[in-house]
Amino acid sequence: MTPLMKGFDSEVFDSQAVFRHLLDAMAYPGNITGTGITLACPDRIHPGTGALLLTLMDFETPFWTDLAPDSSEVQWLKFHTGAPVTFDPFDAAFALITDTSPAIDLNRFNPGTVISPDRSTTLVIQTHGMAEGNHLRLTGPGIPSQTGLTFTGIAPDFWEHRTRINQAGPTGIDMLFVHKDRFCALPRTTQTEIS
Amino acid sequence: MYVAVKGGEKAVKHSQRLVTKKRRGDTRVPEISPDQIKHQLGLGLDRVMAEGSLYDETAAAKAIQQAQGDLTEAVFLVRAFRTTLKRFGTSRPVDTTEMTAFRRVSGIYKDIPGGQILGPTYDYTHRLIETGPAPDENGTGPDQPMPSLPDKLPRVMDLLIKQGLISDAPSALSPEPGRETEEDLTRQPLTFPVSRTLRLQALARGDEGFLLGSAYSLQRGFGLDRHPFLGELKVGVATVCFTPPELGFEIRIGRIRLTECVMVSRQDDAHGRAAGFDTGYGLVFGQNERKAMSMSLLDRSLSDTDKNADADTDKAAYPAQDPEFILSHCDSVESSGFVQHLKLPHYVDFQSELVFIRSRGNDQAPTKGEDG
Amino acid sequence: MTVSYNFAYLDEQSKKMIRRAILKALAIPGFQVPFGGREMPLPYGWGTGGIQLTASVIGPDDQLKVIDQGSDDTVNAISIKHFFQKTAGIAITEDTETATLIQTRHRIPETPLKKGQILVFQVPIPEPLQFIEPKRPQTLKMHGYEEYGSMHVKLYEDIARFGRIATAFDYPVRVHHRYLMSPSPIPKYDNPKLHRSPAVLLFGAGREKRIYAIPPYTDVVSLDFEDYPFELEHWEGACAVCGSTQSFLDEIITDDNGTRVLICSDTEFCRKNAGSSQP
Repeated sequence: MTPLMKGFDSEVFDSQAVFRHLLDAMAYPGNITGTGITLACPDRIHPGTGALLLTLMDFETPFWTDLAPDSSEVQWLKFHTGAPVTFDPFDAAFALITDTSPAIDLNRFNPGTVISPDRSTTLVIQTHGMAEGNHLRLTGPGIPSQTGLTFTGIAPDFWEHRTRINQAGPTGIDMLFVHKDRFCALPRTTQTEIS
Repeated sequence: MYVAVKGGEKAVKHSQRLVTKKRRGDTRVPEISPDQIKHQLGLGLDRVMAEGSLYDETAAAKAIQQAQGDLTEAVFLVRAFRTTLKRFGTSRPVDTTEMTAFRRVSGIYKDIPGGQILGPTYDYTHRLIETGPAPDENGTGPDQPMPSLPDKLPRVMDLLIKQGLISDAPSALSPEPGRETEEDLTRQPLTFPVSRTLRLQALARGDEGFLLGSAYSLQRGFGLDRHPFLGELKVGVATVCFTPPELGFEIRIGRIRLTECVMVSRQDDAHGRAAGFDTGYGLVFGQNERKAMSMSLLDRSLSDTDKNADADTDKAAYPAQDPEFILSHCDSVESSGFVQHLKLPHYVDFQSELVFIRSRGNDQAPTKGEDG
Repeated sequence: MTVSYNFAYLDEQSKKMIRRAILKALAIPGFQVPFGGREMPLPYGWGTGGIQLTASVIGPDDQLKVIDQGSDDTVNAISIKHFFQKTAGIAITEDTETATLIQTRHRIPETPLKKGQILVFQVPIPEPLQFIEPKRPQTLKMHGYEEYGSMHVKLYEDIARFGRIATAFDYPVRVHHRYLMSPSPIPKYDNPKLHRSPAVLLFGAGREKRIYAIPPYTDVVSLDFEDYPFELEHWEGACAVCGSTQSFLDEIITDDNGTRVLICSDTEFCRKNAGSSQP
């Protein structure tokens, strides 16, 4: 077995730096940003993903991923966060999808309840690429009028599915999209339209 | 023109200096030490550890000294210290049958296995302020050999269970199965309906005065319709054991003073249940009998509400039957903070009210112009 | 007993928990997210919710401004600034424009906020329905099913009695056309500043253990009626120091007869304004 890779250089300051970028991303949906730190991650985990999950997860956050539970990636995440791995995505506070080629079934994740819409799964999706663009038009809180994004590797019907999951509100699934060391956020309130 | 909104920084510094000086008092009088507090103000220390929910005699003694004996303020100091401590695991629940008891009384049986132990208590003293010499000089005499204390005492509660007299036996003393460790009031907010585990946690760290008054209201008919009985009140020293995951075997990490109380009250046969006695439970750090008894009376009345009304707090007729009313208001750090925050400036809100009242035509004093 | 405290006092696990709550709060505008509030070395009711938010957000590059009643120099603002200087060695500023993080009690600065700035509100009672329905299980349901009729009834009773809505501060708002929210005890004068603000607005209630947020550019509507629209306080007169008529004015009593002058509540705004109008 290969030795376990290290995590943050400084738990205090790296996680704070990443969180501030994440706070900005969540507050201004569609803004693509870096994480503010450098972090080497195991193969199938993008540096952006690693930074976000190490910042957010701990023993209180059940975690689901499409990676094998015994993979070095999952071992690394478990070691550095203490998050318990769950086999039911509905129980997950955080879920990581590394492979977007199979259709993503959003019904498997927890949208919270009308009384506790915060008890929902936050989804982290690794993409093949993303850029500011006009493929996907975004409106909603955090966006002055509208903004646009272009994703590579995400099926068009994913966006319709996402709309259906979130339209009832206040329940829904908040999503973070990562490509390499950059990411953006689409909380449940962000409405998308394909142009 | 002078405006009295500057100078806060300087004023705060002065105030901090003054309170330090006040705390020390007249320097011709020798300063007390935390050790003296620990050994001579032990019951105050116990209260601070209980409400501070931290068993640390040194921290509690220093807090009492720093707070000039204001125990609620000392509790706050201990809590703020506690919150910074790293949590490294959960101990095995203390087995209270294995406490070394130095005090144990029951109000329901004349004689109980193991006997009644009066121990150190003010219960049978006459409350006369002593005018003679201090206790250490007035001839308590050479230490009498103390009778040895029992290391193991059956619980009166268990005797009642064995006789089939307890109507709510399964949940009476043990937390709900599987919930022993997952719920922790110091890491999660109270939500309603609340589990018994969290309820007991909240009561155990609750303000003694609030719990006492609330329990008293029950006794006066604001929630109880019959007399409760003291099943057992026990004060003693228990061993705390912990299994560090990296060791894999159990170690003893310390001995703590505890007060345990079980109250029983008659429960008639109704709702498909047999007649028997229902219980209420109290467990508190240190020797805190008043608190443990109040706690067990409230545990009883709050679980009644839960049982009879599916935790619908609307069904509670009196405050001491309402879990949300009792548990949301019993914490001295929360209530003391919020009541006293009224000392903070509220100029802006008051101004908004003034504007409204003046707009109602109540304006008698002149306003000076800009050049005033 | 030796004590060494973490950066910004809170331990990393507590910060993580609070950070997760902040993100949920931004994702569900106006919804009160319950969180495992920690005991702070300042009393409940004195800003512990705001302090926990600030402690979880703040970093070494931040410029922190703390105000209470609009002033940088009131006792509680001083105390909170000392706390962060001591535990995080953070740079303090009074300048609203250059501050990256502003913690406030009861006011929103007069100087307009900018994109990227974070305003942290200290909240005593986060539940806008608290005085209509004190029981938490009930208010949770009212928010869940958008049952806000009782709040409209309360405001309408004001109109029946006074001919207008009598709430002067902590005036309830609807956020993103969904949740009813307490803006904290800011004067209603400040309510319009919440609407589509470019800044991130975070609200922390320490004693009640709840966090909520208004994301930037989000619709925030003060409750009113078509025939009785929301209206702001106004003053007959101007600030006695800077002459402003465009800011919230406090009355200062100057003699035993109750003679009073008006002065800006926002001290930093007042000082700047005085400097520019009377060079």
